[in-house]
Amino acid sequence: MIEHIERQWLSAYIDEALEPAQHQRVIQHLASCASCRDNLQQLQTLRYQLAQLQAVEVPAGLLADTLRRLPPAVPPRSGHGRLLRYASAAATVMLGVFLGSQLTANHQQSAGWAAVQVLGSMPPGSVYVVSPYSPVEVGR
Amino acid sequence: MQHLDVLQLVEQSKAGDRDAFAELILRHQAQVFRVAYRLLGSREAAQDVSQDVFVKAFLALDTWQPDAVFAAWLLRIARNACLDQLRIQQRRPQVGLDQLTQPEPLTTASTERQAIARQELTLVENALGQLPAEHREIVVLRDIEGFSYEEIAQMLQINSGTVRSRLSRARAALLQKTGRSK
Repeated sequence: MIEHIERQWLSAYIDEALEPAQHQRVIQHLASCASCRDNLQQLQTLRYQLAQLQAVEVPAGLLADTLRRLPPAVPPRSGHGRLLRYASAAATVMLGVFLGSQLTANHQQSAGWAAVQVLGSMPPGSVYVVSPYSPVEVGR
Repeated sequence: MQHLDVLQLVEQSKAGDRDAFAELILRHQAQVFRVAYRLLGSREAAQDVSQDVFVKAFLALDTWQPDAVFAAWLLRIARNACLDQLRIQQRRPQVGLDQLTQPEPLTTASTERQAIARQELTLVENALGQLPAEHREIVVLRDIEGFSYEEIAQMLQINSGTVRSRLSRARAALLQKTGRSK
């Protein structure tokens, strides 16, 4: 037998959110404990009073003011918009694969061939002539 | 419009039907405003936030999943907007419900019971306004708006057990603030 009901149990009890076994234990305890019955009464009164606070008048112009602030249409996030994003991502990947295969093919054709590397460890726009073995800066 | 369900109204709103979205606002504006008012403690701030909530909801209609309760989805947006607003308010002197609502003095014997009830209600209202936001919102959602533990858990992104324990602490704090706790 529990001495007194946990506060959390009583709170859940008034919401009927206890497990059936817990619910039964609370009922049994309440039958013999005036102190817990008093606590329960306090909680129920509080909840009743809180429910009465629902009566808050909505400002008359809320609907009209909100409608005035709405953009003309919901921006597309699905359908064509999403399809377009997937298509452009796929095209980028395919372009990368194509360019990569071209570079590899050119290297095989001529060992002395130098490619132009635009994006590397140097700042954007830096141009290098690179051999398959050692990079050499343009102009040297 | 009144005969349409939420799903139909959302679909029509997404297709550009403003009357459909107006109907959605009409159905939910009272709840959104009440929650904002209880969380922010000011009608003016609640009105501004409520407008923001519906504009944000309109822009995000594509992200609403029909298996979620629309009101809960909307109140999650409202809750986040209110918390943002409260963060801004924390940097300014606050004017809360406790300062706006004054208990009425007791009058004649014939109206004494009603007056006591009103006084007690004012006491509860003021105490609610003094709770930390985390406790205030859970009491508002459960005891004023009547959402289930599961719906609240979904809105606040916590589990049902946390809803239960947090709600219990919040109610205990309210009882203490209203002088009823032992």
